[in-house]
Amino acid sequence: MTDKGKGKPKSKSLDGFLAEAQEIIEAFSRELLKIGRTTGGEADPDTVNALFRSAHSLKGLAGMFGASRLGALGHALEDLLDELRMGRVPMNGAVEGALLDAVDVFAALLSDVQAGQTAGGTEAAGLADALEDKIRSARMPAALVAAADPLDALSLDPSVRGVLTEYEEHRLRENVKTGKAIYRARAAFDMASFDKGLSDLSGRLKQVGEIISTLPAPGVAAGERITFDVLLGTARPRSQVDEALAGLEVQVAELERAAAPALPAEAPKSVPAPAPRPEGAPSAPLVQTVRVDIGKLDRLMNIVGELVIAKSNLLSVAEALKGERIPTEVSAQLFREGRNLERRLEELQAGVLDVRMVPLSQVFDKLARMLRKVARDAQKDIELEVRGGDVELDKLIVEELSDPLMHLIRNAIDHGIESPETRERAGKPRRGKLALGATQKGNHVVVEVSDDGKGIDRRRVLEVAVERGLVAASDAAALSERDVLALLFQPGFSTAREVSELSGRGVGLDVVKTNIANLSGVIDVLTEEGRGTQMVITLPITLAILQALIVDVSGRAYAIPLNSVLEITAFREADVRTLQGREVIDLRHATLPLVRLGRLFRLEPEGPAGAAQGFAVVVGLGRERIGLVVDGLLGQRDVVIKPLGRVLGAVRGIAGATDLGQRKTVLVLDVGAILTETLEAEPRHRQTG
Amino acid sequence: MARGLDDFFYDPDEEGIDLPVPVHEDRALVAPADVDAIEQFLCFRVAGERYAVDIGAVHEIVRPPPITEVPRSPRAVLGVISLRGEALPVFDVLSLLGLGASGMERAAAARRIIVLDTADGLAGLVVDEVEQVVRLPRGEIEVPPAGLGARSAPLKGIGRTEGRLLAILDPVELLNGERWK
Repeated sequence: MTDKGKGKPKSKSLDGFLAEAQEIIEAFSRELLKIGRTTGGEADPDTVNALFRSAHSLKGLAGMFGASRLGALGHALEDLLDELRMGRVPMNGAVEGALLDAVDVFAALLSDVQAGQTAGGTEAAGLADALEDKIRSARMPAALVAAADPLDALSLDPSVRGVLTEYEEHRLRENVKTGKAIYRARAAFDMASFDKGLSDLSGRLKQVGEIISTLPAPGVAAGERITFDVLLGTARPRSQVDEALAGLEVQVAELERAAAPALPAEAPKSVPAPAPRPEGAPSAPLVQTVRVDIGKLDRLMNIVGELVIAKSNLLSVAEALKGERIPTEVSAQLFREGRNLERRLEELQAGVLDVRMVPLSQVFDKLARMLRKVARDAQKDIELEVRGGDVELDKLIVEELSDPLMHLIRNAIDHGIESPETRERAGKPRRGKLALGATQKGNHVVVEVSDDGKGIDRRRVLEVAVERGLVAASDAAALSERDVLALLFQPGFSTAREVSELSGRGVGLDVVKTNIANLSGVIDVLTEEGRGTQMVITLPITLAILQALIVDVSGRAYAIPLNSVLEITAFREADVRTLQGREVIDLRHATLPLVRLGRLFRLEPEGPAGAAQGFAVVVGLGRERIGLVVDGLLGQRDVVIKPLGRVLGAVRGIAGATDLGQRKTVLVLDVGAILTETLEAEPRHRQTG
Repeated sequence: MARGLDDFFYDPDEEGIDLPVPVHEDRALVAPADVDAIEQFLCFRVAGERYAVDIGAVHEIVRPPPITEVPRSPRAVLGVISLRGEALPVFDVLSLLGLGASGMERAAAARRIIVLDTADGLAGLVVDEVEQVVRLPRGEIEVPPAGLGARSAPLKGIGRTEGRLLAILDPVELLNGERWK
């Protein structure tokens, strides 16, 4: 951690440093409470290690932020704790006093840092100096009794003893001194999976004693296998050790000692704590989060996507081999392994996707700040209610959501919520209410912006639409309420009688709609005059990888994102009716508009026309749904959508292309765009002129 | 030859193309000072005509994978292909030049796709044959004659090799969406 922090982190604020340092000090004082309860000359090794790591972390953190006084104290403390855990300094009143003082001094130094004082000369710095003296004197061992090393009596191979770290040797000595038995557990593992076997063995041994060291066994090497010796110190009888290892192939041998040292009676006092980490207890990571460039995640995602394609290819090879001459068990095994790979890949995919997820509060918080300013400028009294900030979405979607949401909020403040006086006259509370909310629904997230303002005046919308030539006056009367509201999203529509600085002119809800559509989402509007307006945005959770239904249309394959597929239904051509110039079928008593993809894409039909039966893939986003008529269903695949390339640019109704392997490229349909296009293309909606 | 065509090929198992020895090789050796002034072009043939593009714009040359047609796209767009997981559009050179469309039949019969590296990403040109890399001194490239009309915009110059004419195309202008969309 410390070497990574060489460059001064610019992005990290002082607040972050203070919070983190505070956290470490709190952890330090928690551990310290435990040590206070231990009596006798030896401190609990786990506790000392934890304290050591805290001091080390604090030193590193202080170094990164140039808090030199704090760093120096952390360093002194780290040295003391190191001596303590190595057994070079006994746990006594002086040490404990120094450690307890340290918590207070750290806190004092931190407030200095907060006040901008990092060097010294303050009261806290004085305290720190005094503490360092105390630490120095505590590190002076009162009297080093040169006793005979109990390890000399242990029948331990000198070559083994030679590779033990100082800490391990110390722990071994402590175990021998307290009369515990030392066992050597030897086990051989497959090279490929030894880590798993070893951790299982260690787990079991920890139940009965302290693992002093884990070493590759000297001189034992047999081909594909690797042998380890685990040194265990325990007060438990041999039978319990054997019991713990039941079912494992382990040779256990007790290391004998030449002369039995004292204190056998004291032995079964307590169950030893789990073993400390080997390798001199590496310091715990300082920071639990990592900032990652989204580009790196995209690259990872691409690799995962390609792996998914490779996996699919592998499985189809396995499938093809099924009927071939190779033995059944081989093909079955290939298939099983393929499935296994598939599951792991799914986990990997989910993991990478999860990393991309950020809570919506990131954008909600920003919007809340903006709202206060806008409301003040518009001289309106508005209370914001936010919920669902913890709902997570792909980082890219969250970023792209900021502008459309800002626009909707401005609209609500500008055109929706009335002035306090008007509200009072209408019998509403003076203070308007604006709610920003998010909920997850399966693979989608629904974001809502609602206000309790005056609602949308449909007559006025129609007037403007006719004025601007968006709809013919003669058609206006026939429009349903919903159709009228759809006009709001037409380019160049704005109902504000006076153009305010906020909402501007010309750029309106059509831009919002386009932005949302670019995220494969849709927007719906619900409004009640005098009561308020609600804008409902439905978005996919991620754009990176999706499951798709592969369909056949006139001999060509297309992919339909499964997250927008509601169901697949077969229908008889005879049941197709025409309603207002559009083909529809009845689906469970609801009318479902049909879109024949072959016709939409102007593809030559393959095979004889006029088949008696067809398939409709029912797709829906938000409240809209249509049936996409296809010629056949080819299967379901995970796809990674790639843009068609900037040279070509956007093609209406196509979200991108995906590589299905074997150099086969399939276009992915943009369901949102097709829905929009279909609904707009309704004859009476068609723009005049 | 300074640079073999092999560098541009995607398929490692691609059989080699017979490359005629570049005409101006010797001259470059005789007068090293002129090397800077020599430009290299990749020659290819479409519908019997010879064209060339600056080799710096060529990303690679691939054997055409199946081309997926894109519904409702401009005529010049034959479709998209996948290249190492990325999608890229492939174009019909004749349509881009306004010389009429060669259509999907040509796409099906296409022998090579020249992948151009443009500021807007990769784009492919479907060609009948990739011929050779020629080195031409800048001074020998003629300015295209006037009076060819708007069509001539992608025509950067005319070169001569082995006594035959070579139309040198400007990839940026050739793929300019305003001309074919």
